[in-house]
Amino acid sequence: MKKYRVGIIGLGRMSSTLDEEDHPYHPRAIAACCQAMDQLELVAGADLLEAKREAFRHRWGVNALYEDYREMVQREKLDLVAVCTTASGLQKPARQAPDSAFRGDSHADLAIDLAEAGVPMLYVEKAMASSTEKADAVKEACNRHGTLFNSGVSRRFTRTYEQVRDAIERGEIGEPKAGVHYGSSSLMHGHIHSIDTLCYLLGDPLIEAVRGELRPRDLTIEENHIPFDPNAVYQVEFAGGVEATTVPAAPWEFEILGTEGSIRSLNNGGGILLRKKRGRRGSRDNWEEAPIDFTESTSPFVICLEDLVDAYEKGRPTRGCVDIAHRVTEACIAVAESHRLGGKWIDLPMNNRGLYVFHV
Amino acid sequence: MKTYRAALIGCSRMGAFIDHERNDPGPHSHAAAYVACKRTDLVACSDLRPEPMAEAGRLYGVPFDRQYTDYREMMVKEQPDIVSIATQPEQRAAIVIFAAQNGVKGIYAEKAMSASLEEADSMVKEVEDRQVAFNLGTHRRWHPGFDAMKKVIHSGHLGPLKSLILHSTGSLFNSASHGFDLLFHLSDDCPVDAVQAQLNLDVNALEGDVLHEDPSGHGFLYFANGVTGYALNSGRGMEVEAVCRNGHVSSLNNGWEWELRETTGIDPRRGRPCLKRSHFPAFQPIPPVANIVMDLVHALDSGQSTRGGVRTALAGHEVIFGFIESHRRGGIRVNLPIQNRTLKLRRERAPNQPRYRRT
Repeated sequence: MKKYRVGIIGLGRMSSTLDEEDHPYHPRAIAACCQAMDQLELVAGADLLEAKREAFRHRWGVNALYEDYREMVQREKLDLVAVCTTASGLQKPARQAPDSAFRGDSHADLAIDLAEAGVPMLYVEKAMASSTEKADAVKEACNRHGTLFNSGVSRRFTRTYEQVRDAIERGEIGEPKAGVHYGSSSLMHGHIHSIDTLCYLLGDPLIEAVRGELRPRDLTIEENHIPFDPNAVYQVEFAGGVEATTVPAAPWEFEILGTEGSIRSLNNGGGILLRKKRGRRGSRDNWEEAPIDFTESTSPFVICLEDLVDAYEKGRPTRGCVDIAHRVTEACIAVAESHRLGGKWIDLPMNNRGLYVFHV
Repeated sequence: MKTYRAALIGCSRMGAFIDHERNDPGPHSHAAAYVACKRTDLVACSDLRPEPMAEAGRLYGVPFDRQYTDYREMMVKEQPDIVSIATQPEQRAAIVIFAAQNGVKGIYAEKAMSASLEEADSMVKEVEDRQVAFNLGTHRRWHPGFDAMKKVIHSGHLGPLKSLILHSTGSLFNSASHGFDLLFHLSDDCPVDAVQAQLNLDVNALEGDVLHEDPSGHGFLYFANGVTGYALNSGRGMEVEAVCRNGHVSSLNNGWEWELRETTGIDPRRGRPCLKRSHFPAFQPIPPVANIVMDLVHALDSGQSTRGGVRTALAGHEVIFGFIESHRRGGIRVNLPIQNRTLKLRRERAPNQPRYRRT
């Protein structure tokens, strides 16, 4: 079995320490995933901060550590690079743009640079970009260089959601007609997950239009720039006519409703509820619970990296390929554009490609 | 105790024959409710069409000489205490106003309230000026199951209410009038500040201020207390879900089943709170139409307000027209009350043929 050489840019939470937190399905940190996978060998890391490099060396025993990621890429002949920096490029705890001129877009800039440098596989933390024009550039660079791409939208790689998608594909609920995401979230940090998951469950259709609203409702967008990651609600219209809505709630759940029934991922992926039409009750269709198998997932980050490697070896697209990631990122930013225009539906591709949304 | 004289205007499906479509215990029609109620007598009926009126008279024991093709003549001659107005909304306002002006003490009006907000405003004025007890036929407000659901929502047990989801909005006048009133009921009749909507509206169906069809659509209701109502057409049928901070409570299958899910602890696999099914409180089922009539009787006995009332009816009606206005303006949020009160529903349609017998 070939072992692929992995380098990580950004040696903090997502790459190194994430498993210390209360999340399901370990390992989650990219370094820990590399250790768990026979196909990957973590050989190098890059971070601007010496303290982070030293902590990473101590934790993972990696000695090829660089301040300049370009030097790492040039020297280490990497097959896969994981971009685990903040999206803005600012060090945490920065949660806001320093001024309206700030347009830091670390995930996008690094992804473009790595594709141009010929790295064949990229794992990029979400969101892939902070503006649609930057997402365009990432997509163009990856497609031009044949770079395989997955981003950290973890539900796409979680088996419990895969079971929901499989049931929909099997026709358990008939033809999908609508989707509901139950969950309260920020736009770029959280709803990139929710819109991506809705896309995934529906079989990744194109997105035709988006409308939404940011919180607070009276938030005004000046200079085409949102200096923080606002909470948001949205509606998404998919090609084929399925329309999805997000409803602030907890815990996160996803429901897809079809002509013959509905399926709902419960408790943040902790269960599945399938309901099917069974006869009539009163003057209307009766919906009853129906049995469905449920198996807990393994690490979505391992599944994501395995998907990259498998796609590379088989010459197929990845599950979260750059075109899909671009589509979802554009939909997220279109929510903000809709808010800017008073809540109007925004047809995709959206015209205002320069709107910047800061996120961590 | 006094027995109130009731009269029915509109002897079609909702007025007299919907009982033939249902298998669950009634009454479901206005006429059946007056006959079933010990405090009311159905003494007269009116319809422009003699045939359904005669069938209704036969079914509910209203003699031929008390069947009228002119509702004005009926009200003047019969002097009923309570009048049911089970016509289409285009005719509603004129009848309600005439009834109020001619001594009727209680009105049970089918939904939707009227064909325009201008008409609804006139109805409110007449009903309030003459202190007429008024209920609109948005049945779920009188459904004991939704009362139990409302009680759970506002008990504090689940924390504050965050969102209300109506899974079947449907056509605005015919169906959403039910759903919007239910959202108001579950929100404890908190006012709605603004709405936002998208309709499936044929481009030719709206000519100036005349609406030629009852459009279906979906949208949002922004309640003054920060709660958002999501009026969807998700395909789940008439189901409603209330999302509170620590739990969800749902009505399933059009009020046949009820579900309470509440936070019972941390999911050890996820390190986060999870919802588990819990016990929804038991309630005594009573047909809502029977409750509407008893509510009117109680209001006439006591002088107290009805559970519905003309202002509550107007609140739901504002949402219908707010949805239309939002759609006209590209789906943006519009504040209520809306300024344009003259937009009017005016359909050209043949009357429905009711089922005279159970099939």
